[in-house]
Amino acid sequence: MVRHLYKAAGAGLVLYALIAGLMTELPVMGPMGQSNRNIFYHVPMWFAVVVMMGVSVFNSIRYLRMTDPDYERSGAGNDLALTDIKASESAKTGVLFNILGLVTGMVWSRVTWSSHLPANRFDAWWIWDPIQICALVSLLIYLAYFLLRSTFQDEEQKAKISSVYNIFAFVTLIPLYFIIPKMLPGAHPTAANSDAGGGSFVMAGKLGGDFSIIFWPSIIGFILMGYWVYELQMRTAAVSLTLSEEE
Amino acid sequence: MLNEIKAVLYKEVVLEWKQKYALNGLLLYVACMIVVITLSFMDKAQVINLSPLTWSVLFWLILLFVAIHVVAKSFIGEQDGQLLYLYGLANPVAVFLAKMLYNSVLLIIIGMISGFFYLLLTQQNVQNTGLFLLTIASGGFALAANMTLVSAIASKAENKNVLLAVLSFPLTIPVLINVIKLTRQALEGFTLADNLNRVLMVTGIGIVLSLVSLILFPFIWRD
Repeated sequence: MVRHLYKAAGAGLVLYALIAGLMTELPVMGPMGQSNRNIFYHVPMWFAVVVMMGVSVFNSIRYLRMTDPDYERSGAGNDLALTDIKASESAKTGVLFNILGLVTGMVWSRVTWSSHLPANRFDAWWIWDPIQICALVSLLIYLAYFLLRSTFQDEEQKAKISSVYNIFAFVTLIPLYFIIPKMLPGAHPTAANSDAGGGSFVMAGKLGGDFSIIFWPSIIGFILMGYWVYELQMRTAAVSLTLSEEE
Repeated sequence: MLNEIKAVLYKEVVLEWKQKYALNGLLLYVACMIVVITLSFMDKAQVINLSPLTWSVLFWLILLFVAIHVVAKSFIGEQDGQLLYLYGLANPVAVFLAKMLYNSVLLIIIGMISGFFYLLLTQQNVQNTGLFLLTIASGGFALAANMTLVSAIASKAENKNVLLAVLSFPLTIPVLINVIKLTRQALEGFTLADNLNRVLMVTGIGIVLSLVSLILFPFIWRD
């Protein structure tokens, strides 16, 4: 029962964010107008991405520790396969949220960022903002991870080598997500040239009270929903692995 | 450990010197690229429209492909048996470290040679030579630190050469964004003090990635 509680909590919080985020009267911030409500849906996607990639790299590290001869192995070989499945499925969920974050960002940017373009263009689906670029690059990195996985025939070798790549990729993700976007000028409020001051990744202090009581629950809700998606995927993959072993 | 690293480094240098085709091939490749680039910006015997930004982008694209060739030689180029023999003679981590050091030194040297000729042929002036050289040094080191482990990873898979490019290009972007900006600043005469955080960032990425590679390499050399 307790195991399933987080799913109810996630669904409830996301539902709350959907209803309250659209219904509450909020102060209008600068040129964004009413589109600033997207902060309740676009930003949480990236929190979910970071959490999912964290789960993935955690499982990759665990996998490598389990294959180490010095490590006292408690489980059987099946545990190893499950850890690899956890690493790859959480990366898959992370990629899903990465795409969702890009799409919600594109919709938002079309409404608010047209002022960054020449006067005769209003279709700001994509303006090569630093954070957009970094998000796209992180997507490429994880697509490369899945390409690497698909080239191996041997399961154990696949698991081990893709774990190594996953950890290495996660290390380069840190400058991509947390350092470079703050160094370069761009349209996001975190950029170096922003009117909002920039620098801080979450503008918690600058959001009014009405914003934060929807914003933070929404982040927690989307992270929990992401974990739910991951758990479903992971269990499906584990079942199909067991079935293919029995055949 | 230190002696082993020295021995492997010595072996790499001697091999490179004996089979000059690899090094000469790279230099010739760089020369061809530079001539092609210069010619395509040529109008009435003058290089036009080659802004410092375009110059730096093309320069680092050349070096990126040089890096791919240099790095591919260190693990993909060697036969499996040879590498295993090497791991038997010396600590695998020492072999890896030596190869990474060798890659970065080779990349930095080729970077400086090609930078010199590229500047000469395109008639660009570097206003801040120190920053320019520092950028090539830190960028070459960071690229080598980034790609050497990826080359070891790709050497285990099928379709090695394509995989090396696909796996390493996205990972090099944080380095490339910064070194392109730095090269441009050096051409336009900005000082080191203006760009210290970028230099530190590129070097920092290189150091962190090489340390992570050293931790991770023991897991993949065996099979």
